[in-house]
Amino acid sequence: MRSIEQVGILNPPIVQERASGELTPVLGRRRLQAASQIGLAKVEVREVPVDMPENHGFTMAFWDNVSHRELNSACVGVIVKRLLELFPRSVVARDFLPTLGVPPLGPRLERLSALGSLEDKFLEALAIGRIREKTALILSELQPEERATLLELTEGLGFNANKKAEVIGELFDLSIFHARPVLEFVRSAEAQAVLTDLQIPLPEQANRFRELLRSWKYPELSGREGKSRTRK
Amino acid sequence: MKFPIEQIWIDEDARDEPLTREIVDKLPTAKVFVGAECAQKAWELNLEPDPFSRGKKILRLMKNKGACIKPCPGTPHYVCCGLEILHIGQGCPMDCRYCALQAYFNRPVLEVFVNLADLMAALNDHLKQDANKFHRICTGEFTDSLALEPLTGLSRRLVDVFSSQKNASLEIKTKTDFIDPLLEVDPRGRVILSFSVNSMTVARQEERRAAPLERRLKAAVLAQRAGYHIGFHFDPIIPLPGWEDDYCRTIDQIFNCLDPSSIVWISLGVLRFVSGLKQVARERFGPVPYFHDGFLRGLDGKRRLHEDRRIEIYQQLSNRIRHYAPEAAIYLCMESPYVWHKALGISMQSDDNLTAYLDEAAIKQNRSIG
Repeated sequence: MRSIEQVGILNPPIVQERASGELTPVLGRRRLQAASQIGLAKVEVREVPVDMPENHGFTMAFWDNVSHRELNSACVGVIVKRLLELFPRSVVARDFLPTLGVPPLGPRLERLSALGSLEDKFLEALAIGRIREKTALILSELQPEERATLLELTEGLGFNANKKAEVIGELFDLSIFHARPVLEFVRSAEAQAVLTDLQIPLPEQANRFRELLRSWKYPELSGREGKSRTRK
Repeated sequence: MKFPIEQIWIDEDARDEPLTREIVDKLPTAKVFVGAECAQKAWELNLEPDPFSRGKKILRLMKNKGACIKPCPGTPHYVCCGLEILHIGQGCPMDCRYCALQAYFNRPVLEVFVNLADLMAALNDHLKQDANKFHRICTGEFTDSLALEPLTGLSRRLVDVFSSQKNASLEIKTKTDFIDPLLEVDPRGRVILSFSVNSMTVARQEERRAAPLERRLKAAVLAQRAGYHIGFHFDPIIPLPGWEDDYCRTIDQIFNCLDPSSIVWISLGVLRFVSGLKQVARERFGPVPYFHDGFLRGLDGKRRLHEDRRIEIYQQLSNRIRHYAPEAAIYLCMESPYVWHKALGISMQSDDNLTAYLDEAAIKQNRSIG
């Protein structure tokens, strides 16, 4: 924004007129947003033909962005998802994947596309490392309400990315193994007794919740550990 | 041919092998691609969301340029059987949901090594080099030994070779009942036809395209009558609800139709897997509940159920087996000495111990034939 204030927009954004008559950005969306926030009355733009196919516009945006931006796995997921919607797989693999550093493997593309389907708050968490890719993939298999609750819960308990992976992974396992919705475990009386106890400090609460999950997932191990503690 | 093959990919240097021509002749409707065309086809296949599913209908004929005989891919900290693998190809046209090969290989097609002359020469050298050692050799580690037998006829040729070996046994391991060609050859007590078996529930739900359990047992009976020794592998044992009765029923079925004296060994192995398999299986088949059971990271990095559960499972199954065959050579696949002792009451401290135990079982059977 500061650069626009100082020197204006050096590279004019590119726009396309839709059937409705509205102009939509093909590339330079952020420049336009910044100009609007600054209150520029007029912005010079370049217009592409009305009949230019959508995938051509996406290709322009792709090359404009990859040339000067480092892409994290959340961005790559969004891009791969869109590419698979706009182009045949072979074209995606030949023309785009090498630049993205993604191997031309179908299952990998499916995973990235699943990541790219997540809502913005999960993509942001993934982009800045608050959740790992493996966790994001598990979240992508859950219902929107379920994943929102799990992210909120694990962030509220102060878990780092590794502990989030452990907790969300165990809840997911329990849900599939017992064929019960994942939130049933979180909302169970035992879990709520831990999660709503405001008398204990947060780190202790977080540890107790992890232990509870472990006792559900690995009952034999927890039993052995319990015996060992009693002996000591 | 039970398993449909839609395409044959032939490596340039394998096109003139006699087995290549035999296989192509047996599959007149399959599309054939040779040399560089195959690389493009492989690239396209790998781009598919699930390359393994279509890969099971593609046969790649190639030369094995690596070792023809390899040691069993055991892992540290657990006792390995010391089997030697005769590498005849890799990949399997069946599609068991628990199959480790899904996470093991990065090439999704069925590969058959057609340079048979090289294979036979390597085998001959191997057996001669170590003439005083007893060799337990198996073909069913990276593929099913018999799944492609109608195309290759390889096992039949190997039975011929092994029938005259004094210091070796061949184990043919399968989930099929493609044994007819083998019934025409006399194994002279040197060949073990092993069937991978499971509880009826697991066999039905999980072992897609494998022969139903009854057909595998029927094949075992025919093989026994034809002079083959028989082996059974309960692997992977999956403790689904009701597993106790379900597995005992399979054991009952085995001993109701087979003479225990011709059973060389019975192996037991509770499901264990590399961590990647869980995700691969979920992506290919949707949620597979048993992969989400309480699996812990084992000493070799593979996921295993807690040893208390494994011990309980092994005890139940081995007790039932011993009820019918007190002398049966039961062994555990990739288990710790502690589990061996607790589950079977056997001190099995090292790979060498287990190798000796199984060699003895095979040699005993050889002696009984003479």
